[in-house]
Amino acid sequence: MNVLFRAQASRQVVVRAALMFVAVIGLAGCDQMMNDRYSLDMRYPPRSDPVFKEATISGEELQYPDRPGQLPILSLANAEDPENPLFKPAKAGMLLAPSKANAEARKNLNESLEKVFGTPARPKVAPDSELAGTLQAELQLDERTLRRGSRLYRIQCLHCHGLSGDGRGPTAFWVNPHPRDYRQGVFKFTSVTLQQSAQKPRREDLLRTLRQGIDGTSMPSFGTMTEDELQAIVSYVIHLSMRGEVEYQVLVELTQNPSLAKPETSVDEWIAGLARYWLDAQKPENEIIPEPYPFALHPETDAEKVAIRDAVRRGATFFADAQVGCVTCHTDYGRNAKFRYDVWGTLTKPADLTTGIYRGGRRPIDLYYRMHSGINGSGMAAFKDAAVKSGKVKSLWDIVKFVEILPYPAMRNEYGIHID
Amino acid sequence: MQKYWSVLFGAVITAAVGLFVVAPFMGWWLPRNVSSFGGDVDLLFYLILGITGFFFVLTEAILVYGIWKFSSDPTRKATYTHGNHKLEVLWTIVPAGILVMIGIVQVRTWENIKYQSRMPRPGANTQQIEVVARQWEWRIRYPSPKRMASWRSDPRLAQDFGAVPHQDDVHVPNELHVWRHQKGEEPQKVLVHLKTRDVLHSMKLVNLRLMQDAVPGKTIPVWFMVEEYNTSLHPETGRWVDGFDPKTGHWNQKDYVWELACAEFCGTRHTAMKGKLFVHKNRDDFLEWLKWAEAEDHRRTPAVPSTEP
Repeated sequence: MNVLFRAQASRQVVVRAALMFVAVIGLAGCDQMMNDRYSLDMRYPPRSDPVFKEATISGEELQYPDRPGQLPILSLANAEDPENPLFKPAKAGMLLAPSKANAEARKNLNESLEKVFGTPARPKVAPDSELAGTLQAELQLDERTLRRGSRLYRIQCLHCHGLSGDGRGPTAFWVNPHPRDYRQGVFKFTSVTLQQSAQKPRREDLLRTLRQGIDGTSMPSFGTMTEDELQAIVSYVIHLSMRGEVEYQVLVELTQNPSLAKPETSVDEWIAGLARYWLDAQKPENEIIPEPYPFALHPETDAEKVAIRDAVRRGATFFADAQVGCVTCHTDYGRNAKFRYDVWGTLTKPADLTTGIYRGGRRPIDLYYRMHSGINGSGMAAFKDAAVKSGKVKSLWDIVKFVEILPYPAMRNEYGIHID
Repeated sequence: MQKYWSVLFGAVITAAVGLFVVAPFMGWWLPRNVSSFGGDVDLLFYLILGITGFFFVLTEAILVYGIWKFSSDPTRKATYTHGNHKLEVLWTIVPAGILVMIGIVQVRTWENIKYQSRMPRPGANTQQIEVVARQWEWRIRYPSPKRMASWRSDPRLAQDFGAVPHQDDVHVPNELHVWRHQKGEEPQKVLVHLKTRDVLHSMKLVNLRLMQDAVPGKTIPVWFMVEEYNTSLHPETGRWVDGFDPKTGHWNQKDYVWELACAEFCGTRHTAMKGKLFVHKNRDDFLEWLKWAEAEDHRRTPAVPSTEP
């Protein structure tokens, strides 16, 4: 009896172990398959988080509801709270809760969005017009590329940037500054002369951000991926951004006017308008073409050194000019900069120019782009016209050169710039 | 019935040993060693594998034999022992002796790789690179070609590279470029200044048999010397591409793609924290690449889109 019982027990153990083994192996395979792509019945979730529209005050006037650089969770969560400083339209802009919009209109919006932009597993940009062909050809928004991009995005980007590109993926809450929310259609680092809403990035701009990462933030470099893969991700990001911005713009109208059963500007019209912006940004005539770089990369002769010294001094004068306004934000070269709100409702600080960390890239041409067209969404203005008008500098390169030497004590000494 | 447990144990150990035997033929063994000291590290690995392998097989064999022999007779009377002093002394002293022996044998290799007194000094002939780990990438800084030339005329100028960034430095994320040392010629050593900007990371170059933790607040010197190369100018793209097998002259060779990985769990995307090691044939090739990288990193004109001819 005893022996029999023991034999049974050991047989049970063997069976259990075998089952466990099969289960573990089976689940491992499952995980592989699930990681590969979105399930077919998955939909982009309708936007439910409050829509933040235009901050018009600087951060210092507020008791911060959120910590600088973090997702504006607290401020947005309390959208209904009249005490929420961001909710006082006269002061801080507007905070709009999508739940206030007409339910029927929201449902229609989601349906039309899905019709045009598809689902995570089957993304597309297929507006019901001749635009579709142009978009697919010129912006590489064809279904094959988008499908590939969607799969790569799921593996590499989703955990921060979120399923719908809302910048609220699982890891988003632990990184500072928080990941970009594409749904406003605003991208900081562009190389186009266009301004405001038309300031969409060129494909090369997005590609470069992917390749180089964004120094000073949690965005790493994806440079070891192949060109094709990166291009597919760029296409998918454009898709998410277009989809998000259409949703954003329509929701702004619907929430501001809750009785509205139908937006005045339809989804199709918004797509047509935004598509034009994106297409325009890709056109060669809208790319920033700087004046030829006037300095030697490695100055050898006295003349070359004098040229740089003069330029740096002109740049310094321009920078310090209260009328131009660099110092208003980059107080004490940015070391004592004040917080302000960006268009995503986050408290941010103008760059500390003495650190040598440039989020938009450290190449001279990157700094030129930033000064020429500003940094969209952040409050950094375009200084192209101001520079020309002031007569203080010969070209933007003077300011670029000045900014370039600021982080390096040896170079500051060499060119006679004293910041301490 | 219980007797058959020994079969299971026997099968597992045979499978384990069998796996080790077939692994080298299936490409599951150590990746290609390309560093000057990698051979010493491998030798130690094989020594320890041999010793532990021998005792593993020995103890498992005794175990299997014991289960087979003594499990089948329920009527047999158990004997009790209160220990055997001689045996205990023996099985304490033998492993201790082996441990001490391994400790003594590895000293020279460890000293060669890790002792700061053995590291190359910053100077005319040392390749200097700053590697900064952060979540989740490697940001890598090189001296400009001009700065490297100045080190040749005055080696003292090379001293400050690891401590002070310069405006003319060249930054390339995730790509660690060095040039090869050719056996029998002047040593071409690489000195890496390893830092981290956030949490603990670990720089692991498995093809070099090299691993070093990066600790917040510290600059840790790491040195190596590579004896093979894997990067050459690709005639079609005009870029310096790795995965190049010098013997066949072909690219995309898996054996010649050398990974720079993070080996210390550092957060959610730890597994994505990967760079690559590019080894150029010689200093001239490296400088050619560095000039290209410098032009990119200090670009002053808009890039020509890759889609245009």
